[in-house]
Amino acid sequence: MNTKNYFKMFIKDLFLPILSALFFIYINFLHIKCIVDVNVYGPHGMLSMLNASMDSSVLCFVFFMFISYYFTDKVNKSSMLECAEVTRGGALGVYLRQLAVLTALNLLFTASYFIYNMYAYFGWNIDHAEVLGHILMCLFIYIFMVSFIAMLLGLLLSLCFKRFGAYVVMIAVILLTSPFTEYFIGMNSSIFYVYEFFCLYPRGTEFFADNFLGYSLLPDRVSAPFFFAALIFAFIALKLLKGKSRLKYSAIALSGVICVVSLAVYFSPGTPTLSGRHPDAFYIGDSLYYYNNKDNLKIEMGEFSISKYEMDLAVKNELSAKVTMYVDNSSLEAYKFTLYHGYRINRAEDQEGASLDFTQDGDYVEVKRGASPVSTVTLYYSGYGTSYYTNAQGIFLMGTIPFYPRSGYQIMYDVKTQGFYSNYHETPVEFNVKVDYAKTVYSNLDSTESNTFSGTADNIILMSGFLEEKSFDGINVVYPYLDNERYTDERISTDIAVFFDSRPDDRPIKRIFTLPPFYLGKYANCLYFSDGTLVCSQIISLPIIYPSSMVLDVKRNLMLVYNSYIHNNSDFENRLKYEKEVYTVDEPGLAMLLQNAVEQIGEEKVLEAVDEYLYNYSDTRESKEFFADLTKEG
Amino acid sequence: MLRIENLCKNFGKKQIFNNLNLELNAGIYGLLGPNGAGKTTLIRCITQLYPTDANAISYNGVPVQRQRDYLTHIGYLPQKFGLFRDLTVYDALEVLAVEKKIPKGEVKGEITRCVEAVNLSDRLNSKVKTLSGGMIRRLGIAQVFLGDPDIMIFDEPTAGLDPEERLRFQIIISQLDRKKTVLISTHIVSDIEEAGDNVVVLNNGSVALEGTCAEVCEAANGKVYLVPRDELGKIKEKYFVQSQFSLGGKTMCRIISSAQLSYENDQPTLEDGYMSLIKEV
Repeated sequence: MNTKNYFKMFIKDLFLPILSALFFIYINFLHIKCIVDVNVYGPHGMLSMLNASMDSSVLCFVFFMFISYYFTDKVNKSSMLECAEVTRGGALGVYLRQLAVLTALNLLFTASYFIYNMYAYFGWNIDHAEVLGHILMCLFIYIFMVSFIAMLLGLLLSLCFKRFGAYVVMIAVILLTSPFTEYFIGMNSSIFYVYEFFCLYPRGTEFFADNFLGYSLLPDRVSAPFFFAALIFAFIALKLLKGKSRLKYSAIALSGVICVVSLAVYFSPGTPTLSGRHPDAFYIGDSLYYYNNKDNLKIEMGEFSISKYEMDLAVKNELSAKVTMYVDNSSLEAYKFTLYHGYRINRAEDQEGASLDFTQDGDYVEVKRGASPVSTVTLYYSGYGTSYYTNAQGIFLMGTIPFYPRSGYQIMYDVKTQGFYSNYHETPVEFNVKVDYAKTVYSNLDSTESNTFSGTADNIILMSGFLEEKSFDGINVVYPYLDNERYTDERISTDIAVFFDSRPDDRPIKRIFTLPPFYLGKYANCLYFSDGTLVCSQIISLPIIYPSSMVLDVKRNLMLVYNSYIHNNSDFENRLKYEKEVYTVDEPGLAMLLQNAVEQIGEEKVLEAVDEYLYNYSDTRESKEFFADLTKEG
Repeated sequence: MLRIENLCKNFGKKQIFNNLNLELNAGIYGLLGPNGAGKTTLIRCITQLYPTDANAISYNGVPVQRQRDYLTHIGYLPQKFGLFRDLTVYDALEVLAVEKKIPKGEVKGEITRCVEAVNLSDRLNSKVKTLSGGMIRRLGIAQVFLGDPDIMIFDEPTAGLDPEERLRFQIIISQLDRKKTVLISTHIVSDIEEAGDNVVVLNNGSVALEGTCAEVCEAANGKVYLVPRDELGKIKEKYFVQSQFSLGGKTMCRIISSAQLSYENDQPTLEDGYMSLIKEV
């Protein structure tokens, strides 16, 4: 009954209902505009309605903080509070009822968001329960919780400050958390980490939801609102509950527990991929790492080959892996591997389960042999990558980065083009992969049972997210089903037909994977695996980008030799020595050709020409042809 | 019965009360004292707006902190009173009635009873913002009556009111049930002269006197003199001018002094007693 009177207080103020109505009209306008845009201009992606909702999250915060302050301050100023304090309900009762009114308003707003998004979900035939769950969670975290925190903050400000002070704090809070501030901070500033903590608004891969993952609902984003709600609530309890009451201490203790748990979750390690301009996200994190460590990169041919991998992977917020490798040389004193530096090895074992000593330095791992000869090496490790992510919302792992150990020391990353090389196994390798993950995982390997794969390939890919796999004329396509602009059944069939009509080769193609929409470097644009898998940024672009995969194929070995020459001359010498034993002067290897060219026309000129050749996709000459032309010109 | 025992209260380094003792039984108490004497602080301690030591205040023999329903026994009119201006009188009182945990079925009857007591029945559906200052104060008194509490506390209820509204207040108070404990804090002595059964005089954070109105008057007994104004200069002893008036074309002063003066003695009033206590004459 009493809350009814607080509703009356809210409504009879006039300013509050008018402001609320205007904001309500505005959010309805945003969503109706989205519907009109789709009807007039065609599909904009199935998450466009959610995008429209998330766009107003900041405004929800500003609106609710302001009206909460205005409403509670107005009741305070009516001098009713002192009377109410001398009742059993006390001032807490008054504030709780005001909070109930504001929460009802918040629920009304959230419900309108919900209705529009349900219209999109059912009206646009999204028909995937995981997307429905995603939409509901986004609305809860980024609309309801953001508004709720704003309400609590407004209430706290009315308790602590006079009008001028309260408005100053409100402006400061908005500036501190606003995405506009994020724009000014830039990517590399350490201030970002502070800002990131306070930013409660929707985070996508690039401020918007991509069709692979949607908005970030990773533990850090979900825990942050609970932390702030509990923290503000503790201050409110401290201000409102007088003396040493049990209720006061219980409220503060409960808030404290929620804060500690939320902080622990917030700081739990995981891929920060879904954090907009986070300085460690995407290619930026890798780019910075490899730039800072460019003098520590090593290249060294492995003295052993791996014939088979058995991988037990588990993905929650990060990747946990147990990878067993069958090695062909059992008598080496040490086994050198390349493993992406984001994964930290916890243990190494031989085939008997005996522990092996190991060292890990960046991307490079050395495992020492024990007393017995070694036939298998098993590494246990966990961690996460930045460009290639593993988290609760999706998986994107490709053999392009060594997310499983590779024989020898390899240079995986090209600092110049800010991307990973297209690293392949020289000969196809047998893989048995099991992924413990809540969603369906897709791979180029054949699926034996749920999220379990096996097969032989020169590269592997594991992907999960808002993806599905469908067959189009015998070609399995893994694509983001939320992208209804580019990936309708009709469109995919047409694009594949156009590609097959225009392709310049006849390599078998069994599967096509589409890549997430962010920068992965020059070499990941279009990749072909020997098992008939094609990985590309977009199917529609295949007629243009596919030739680059062919060019890369013929240049791939020269890249290894070139890197070896630049970064580790002793490795290059070994390669040269090996080639001189295996090849002849009439049929030289690439290291021999490079050495000859350097001797004939000078190192500087050769390296410049090789560099130009490697990165020029329009240059389709094979490497041997290139050297022949170079020495002829020289 | 409300008992205050060894009440100590400090605001920072400033000590307001140091072991204040007071006992309030059924009846109307006037709490008199000059500004800054600690009247409002004492009231806020009684109403637990200011936290107090565990055993400093007890009601019916039990420390108030141990009584969960202690506040249901209290009706309180703060010095500065107002209700949400856009609500009607009924709605505004309903807000407080519910906070006071008055059973839902009794709220309407209670509100009607209370507004009748303060003669605001005809304004039940008027918005608070349409009421005059005096009416709002009466509305404040009405909300004190909600739930028929055993302890009613009024903090400066007549401050700023015109004589007519002050008279109304005195009438309302005089009609109160003497089985209740009523505490009226004021520095206007006449407010409690008519209705007050007992008076507590606070001065400098301690009880200067607790007793009946007659006992307060007694404090000035034999100390009130009527002196022509032009003869005041002849008095060497300490005295305090209480009032002045014309008598037979002469301006006379009513003074209080503890010295034996050779001027005409007058019967002490409550105000004389109060002044002699706070001026420590």
